[in-house]
Amino acid sequence: MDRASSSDAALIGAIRRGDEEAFARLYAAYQAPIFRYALHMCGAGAADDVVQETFLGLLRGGRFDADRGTLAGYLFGIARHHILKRLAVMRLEEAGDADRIVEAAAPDEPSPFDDLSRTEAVAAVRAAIQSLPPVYREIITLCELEELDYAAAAGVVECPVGTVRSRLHRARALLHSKLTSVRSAPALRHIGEVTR
Amino acid sequence: MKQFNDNDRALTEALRALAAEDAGLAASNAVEAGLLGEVRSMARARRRRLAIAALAAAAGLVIAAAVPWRRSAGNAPAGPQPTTSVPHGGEVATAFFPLTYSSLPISNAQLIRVQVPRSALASFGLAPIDVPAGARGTASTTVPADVLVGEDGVARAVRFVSPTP
Repeated sequence: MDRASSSDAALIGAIRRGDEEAFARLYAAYQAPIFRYALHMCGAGAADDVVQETFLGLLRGGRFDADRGTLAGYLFGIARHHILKRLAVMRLEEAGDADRIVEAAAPDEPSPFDDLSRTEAVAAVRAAIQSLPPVYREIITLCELEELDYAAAAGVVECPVGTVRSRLHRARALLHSKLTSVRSAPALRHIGEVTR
Repeated sequence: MKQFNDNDRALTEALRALAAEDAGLAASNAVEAGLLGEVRSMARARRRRLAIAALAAAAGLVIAAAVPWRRSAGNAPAGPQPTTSVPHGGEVATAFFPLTYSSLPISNAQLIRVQVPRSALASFGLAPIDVPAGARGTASTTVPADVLVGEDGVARAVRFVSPTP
């Protein structure tokens, strides 16, 4: 067990003994990433609830084992459980027609961000992420936005590291495809020209 | 290929920009307040459990002390008490026997289940046969008893319990 894991285990021990300050420290360290994960996965209306359920799960008998992974990974795992319940996605691996869309993507087209300001680019990416199937939205959120490494992400989504890598590759291609198709729409192209 | 790399880099930069923009997002203060309330509630429950454990230990000590006192005072009841009361489903118990400090006023009394030495039965005027078979303890060394303890931690009375035969 490394020092961070040992410290996490000690923190949880203190919380279980009713140490409010220890809980406040743990909450401050992890609530925002969990909130953003829930926000991207099931929207603003449910993100607060997912955070609450995640930390309640930890308080009410969660069995964190520092030898089996990080506390962050453990909390993301609890959050994922609640997110899946909310999404009512029994098998997240069913990506629908995503593969077909990925194949249709043309990676050598001009960048979809060429004409956009930073704010517009961020808004466009946010919308494109929201339109991804959950399985890809999740991996983009964990690996690209929350910057979990492949091993940590694999622990959260309970799949091999190789699957995370290939899923992320497909997710990025799909994202690019969606952004390109949106940018080619006349209305958006017009906005790009005006704001340039 | 160069175009592909440029697009890939542009996508990465856009994702980083999105992550940076969202960096300040957080759950509402109400969530933290609710969770802190839960931590406080857990702490209270933990303190209560510890207090009950301490009371049980104290009650056991008081009973242990009461046994020789009753023997020397010779004030054991004349005959064995019948086991007729029903404290919980599936159990029968003797009547309550007063302990040393039974005359003290009592408030917020709690009934605490403890195991007492079998020899305690005799000091209360009970022969082992007066307590139904189940109460004699599987190893014949202890019997279960309910101790009435006040919030001051002082045991006032005790009764011996056994499962319904």
